[in-house]
Amino acid sequence: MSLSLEIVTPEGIAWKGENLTMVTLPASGGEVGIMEGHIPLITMLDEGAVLISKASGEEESIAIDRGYARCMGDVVSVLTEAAIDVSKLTDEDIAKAKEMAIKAADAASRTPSIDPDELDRLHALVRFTVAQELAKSKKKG
Amino acid sequence: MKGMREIRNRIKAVKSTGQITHAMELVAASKMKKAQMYAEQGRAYATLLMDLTKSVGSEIYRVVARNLELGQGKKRLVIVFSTDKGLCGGLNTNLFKAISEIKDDVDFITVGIRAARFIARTKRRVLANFRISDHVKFSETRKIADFAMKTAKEGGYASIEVLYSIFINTLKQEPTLVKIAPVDDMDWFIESLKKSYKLDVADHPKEDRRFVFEPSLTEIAQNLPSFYINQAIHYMALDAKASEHSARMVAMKSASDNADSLIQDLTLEYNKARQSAITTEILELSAAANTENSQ
Repeated sequence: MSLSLEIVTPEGIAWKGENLTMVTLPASGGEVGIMEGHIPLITMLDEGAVLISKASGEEESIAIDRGYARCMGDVVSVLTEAAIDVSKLTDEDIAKAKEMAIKAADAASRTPSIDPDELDRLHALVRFTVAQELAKSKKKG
Repeated sequence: MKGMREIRNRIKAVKSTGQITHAMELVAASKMKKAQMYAEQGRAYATLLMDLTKSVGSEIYRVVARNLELGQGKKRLVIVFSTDKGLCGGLNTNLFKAISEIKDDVDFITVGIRAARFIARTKRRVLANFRISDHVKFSETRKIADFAMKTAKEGGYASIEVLYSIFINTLKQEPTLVKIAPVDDMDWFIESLKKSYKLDVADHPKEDRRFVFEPSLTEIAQNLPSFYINQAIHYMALDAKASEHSARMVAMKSASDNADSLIQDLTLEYNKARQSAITTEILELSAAANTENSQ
């Protein structure tokens, strides 16, 4: 039995893999590292990076938004609003996206007639770009 | 045999009806594609969320019941997803059959005017009627979820249930009644979702150790139930929309096909009528010629 992970977003299954040695999750109470045989766990997640260490020695870093995770029987399921593999992004991409997201959220929060759901969505975008930065820096370090 | 003019008029009428149904078919087809895509995308997420909520296991009944402040007893609150417009085949009829089968102490929240009308006609209680646009926005479904949770809390309802046409494929939609809160009876539904959608989510081996909650059960209990209800209702709405547009597309397609075959039959009849009119005329002419000759 080896550790496997799936990251599921409203757009579908964002990441799925088996034969992992460790998965690190950005839980709301601090980072949680999960290895084979972990006790069943349900946790809330903050925006941040999911670090995946594969048996082959490779590492991957996935940026995620807030959500929930469940570890049960060596299957880790991450449920989040958005997830992206940061290795496909450059620092400039992320910085640009963050600037745009912050600008949009700022403009929106100054509009009194804005739909609160729309504002939520914009804030989530900002959060998500911060998560991408985090994930990117983790990947380097 | 009918008069030629009459047949000609009927052909014209059927043709224009056929044109309308064909146009509606095309419109429904394009809406259907989008709706199906959204419904299919969200499935893995929705199913996993239900599964996760369910995993809180023995705790969940207590947790959800307490946090949504559901009542005791037998009063049920059922949210029905129907359509605003008709012309979608047996979709609503099947849904109404399912409504009639719910016999207990039930109050309804309806989405789409059709179900509201039906329930009012059968003299049962509709607490509110909502409408959802074709795009199914979160702001729309959140209103329904908020209203349902508030009503359940204030009215002492023991359960929140959803009746909607589950989208299986373009030709198949099934009315399904699911209890979304409390979540003690969800296993069959999650399993059937996984099976009928062929979801690629991981199966997990049986686990009998108790769950650890981070940061704490209370914190999760404060956030998870309402989040879950919101999402569940949203994804069910997406499914209901996909079902509606699929059913309408199929209904309109068969209407167009029927119009085509009717036009063929009528044209044949028209040609026969024309032929026999010509034959009669020739007969009359030759008869007249004969009498003239013999005189």
